[in-house]
Amino acid sequence: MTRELAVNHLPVLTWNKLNINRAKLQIETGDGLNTGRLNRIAVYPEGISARTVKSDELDRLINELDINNPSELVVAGKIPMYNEQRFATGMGAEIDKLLDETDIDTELIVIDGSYRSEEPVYIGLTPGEEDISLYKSVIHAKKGSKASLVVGFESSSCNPECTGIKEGCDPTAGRESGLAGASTRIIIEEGAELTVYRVQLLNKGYTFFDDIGAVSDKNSSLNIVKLNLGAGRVFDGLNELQRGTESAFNVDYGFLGLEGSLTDINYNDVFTGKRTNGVMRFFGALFEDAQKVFRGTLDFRAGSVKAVGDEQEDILLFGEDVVNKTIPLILCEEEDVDGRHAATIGRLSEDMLFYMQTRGISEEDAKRLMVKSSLKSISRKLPKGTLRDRTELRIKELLQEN
Amino acid sequence: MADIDFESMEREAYDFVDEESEENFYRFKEGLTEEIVLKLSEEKHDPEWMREFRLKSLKIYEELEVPDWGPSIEGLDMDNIASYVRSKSNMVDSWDDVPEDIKNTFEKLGIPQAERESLAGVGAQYDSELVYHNVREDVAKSGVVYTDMESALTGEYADMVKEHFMKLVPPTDHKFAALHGAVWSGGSFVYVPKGVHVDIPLQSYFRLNAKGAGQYEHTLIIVDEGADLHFIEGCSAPKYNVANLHAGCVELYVRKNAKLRYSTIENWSKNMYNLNTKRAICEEGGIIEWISGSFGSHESYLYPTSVLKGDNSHAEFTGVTFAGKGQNLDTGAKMIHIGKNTSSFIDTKSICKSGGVSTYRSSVYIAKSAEGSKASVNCGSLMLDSISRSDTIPAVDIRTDKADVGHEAKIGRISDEAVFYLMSRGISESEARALIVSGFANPVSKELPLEYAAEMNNLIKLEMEGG
Repeated sequence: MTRELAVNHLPVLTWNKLNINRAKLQIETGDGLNTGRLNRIAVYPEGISARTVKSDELDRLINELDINNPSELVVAGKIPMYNEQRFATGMGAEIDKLLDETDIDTELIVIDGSYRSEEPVYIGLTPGEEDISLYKSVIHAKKGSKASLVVGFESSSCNPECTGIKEGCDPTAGRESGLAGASTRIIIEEGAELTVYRVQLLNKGYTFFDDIGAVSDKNSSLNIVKLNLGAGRVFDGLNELQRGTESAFNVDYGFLGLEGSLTDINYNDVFTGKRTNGVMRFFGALFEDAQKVFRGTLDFRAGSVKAVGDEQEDILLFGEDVVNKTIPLILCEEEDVDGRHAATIGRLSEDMLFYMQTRGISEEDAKRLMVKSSLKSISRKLPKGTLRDRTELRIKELLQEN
Repeated sequence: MADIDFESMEREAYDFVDEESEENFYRFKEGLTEEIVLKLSEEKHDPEWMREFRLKSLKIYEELEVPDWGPSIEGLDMDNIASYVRSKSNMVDSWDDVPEDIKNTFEKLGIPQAERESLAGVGAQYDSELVYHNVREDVAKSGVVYTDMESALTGEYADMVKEHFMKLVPPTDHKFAALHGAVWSGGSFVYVPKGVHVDIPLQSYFRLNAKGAGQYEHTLIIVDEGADLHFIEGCSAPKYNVANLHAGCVELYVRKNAKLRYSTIENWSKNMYNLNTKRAICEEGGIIEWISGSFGSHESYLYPTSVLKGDNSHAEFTGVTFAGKGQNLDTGAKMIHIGKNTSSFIDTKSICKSGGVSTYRSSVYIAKSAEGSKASVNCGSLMLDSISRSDTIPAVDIRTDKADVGHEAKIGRISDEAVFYLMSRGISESEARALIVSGFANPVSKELPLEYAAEMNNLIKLEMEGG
């Protein structure tokens, strides 16, 4: 049996013939959902706590914090075309439904207001024995806190705190295929600063999804640094609501699309607070017959006076059969904003190639060099340690293979 | 000083109503049925194939759904739209022979004057039929054919029309293309022979004067190898408190190394549903240039499409859309690259104010076969207040690694510094803002002939004052 979830909806629809309004996430369910929880390894320092909670407690928290971030189609005169979420995520309501059907608990990670540290806190997530491994969490950064969370998705567990690649530590061991997915809500209270690093190094046979919804209050900042370098099929969505005045949101995203792969991305930055600032940068390279869909939205709602949104996408194409779809939206109902989007998609420039070739670098090596340097500009943002080393090793290996 | 009612003043030049009497005008009953389509076909003395085509299109129309992705068109009820309204006089080639009331309408719109001063030929459609058609003698002598579609359908070029009619925009394309196929009436046929350069533009002007009516003109232009043409299309209608519908269709064939510029200044009244379809196909080395100014309509769906079939063919779309109070204008362009080394360029400006909704929507598709192709999309939006809305929805789909695509979109407001600078030089604030908006739309107006650029700037000024 195959079950199909409609995910990564565009916030407004466009021509159906383009097949870009939404993505279809197919799940092999067999006779029923054979699900388990992603194994989590983490050691939280004092000031950060984690516990499992039930949905009613989460509802209370959402009520207390007055989170009202509904997802809906915002196009004038239209009705919502899919189920609304009270706390919107990038992938949408069907991921919530999938998780609700399982008995997987939600992990509530609370960062106390007194916790202010740049020391990275590692959270390792690895699939279990089941066909489908899921993880659901809420990260609550309390007022004035500062933290860095490093989340690694790998096929086999490795001590996330180790600082080097130890002998016998093989993150590619474990299952070759399956479905691994995470649903994460992030709440950032006033003045809190949170950086979330997310690195996905699962084996190629995996389908992976990462569904995030975030709400940022006054003077807070949320940084997302993300690399997708493993699973063959990736569905990735994020919905950020910048409701607090002068809140900041920043994304640095890198991915490699290899033979037979699909990368489907939907990132929405919704501005309602005054003088908010959102910057999203995406880099990727597609090889062979890789497919990629990128949906990126800057959504300036009424009242977001003097908000600034900037989105940049750079994609290099290296395969005769690649499929690259891009739809960068700017939605605006506030006069006094500054929004821009830029995209460059295609080959290495002839000037750049010529320059490199005059220095004895072959065309193939020049391509690898460009992709590697672009991805490394993101991986270098990761805190020094095992995960960063493994990430950079993965980049090197993948580029050598392609 | 008494308040000036700019809201009503602004469209004065277009909104005058000439009452249509039963004595002078012939009108079908409202609604869309097989009986009405057959009656229309009979009225127009269609050849058998066209009669069949209309019926087939009606069937497709009934089967297709209304689009679920654009502005709401719930206010459009086909049961209240008359598909065919015409003057009881026939089409003529002298303004003196046009009935006085209709001639007055076109005089007020400045069409005969424009013909005398700057055009090589004019077609003037009033409601469902052309009332005037003329082409300059020297242009006709060079072999250029410019006639109404009905004459072309049965005359010397009947086979050419049959070969091309709704082949580029088939009725299956969307619901309103099917509607057009069923009830089309009027429009122009242009054929420019090989190597002929028409140095001054041809123009068709479409006036929908009837209340609660639809206009479905069909424009078919074939520019043969190495030929060159500039075609201008203008449209307007007076405002009524019931919905009017425009579902025209434009099909442009640009042969090898030919060039066609298609300019439109659209200023339909603000009760109009403008569901128009325009498409061009370019063969090897062909060039299509779209210049588009969209100012009118209540709701608009308009996305001129360029199919770059031949190698080294090129398309450009330059457009400005101004959505004011009560308007929801969904406009943009589509580029389809099929041939090798094809190139396309989209440059659009969207402006909205007084609660208007402006949506820029586009798609660029680069097929696997289109190696060496390049595309560039540049769209800018200007919000003039916070009760309006401006959306930008550009899609890109690339199927080859041997292509280069660049895209840039910006949204913003008129900077206070720019207004202050102009005011410090003695210009009033409203004039300063109008000047800045005209400058923003400059990429379009500079591509139009002087008279039309002046008209466009005047429309912008009126829209700005209207706030």
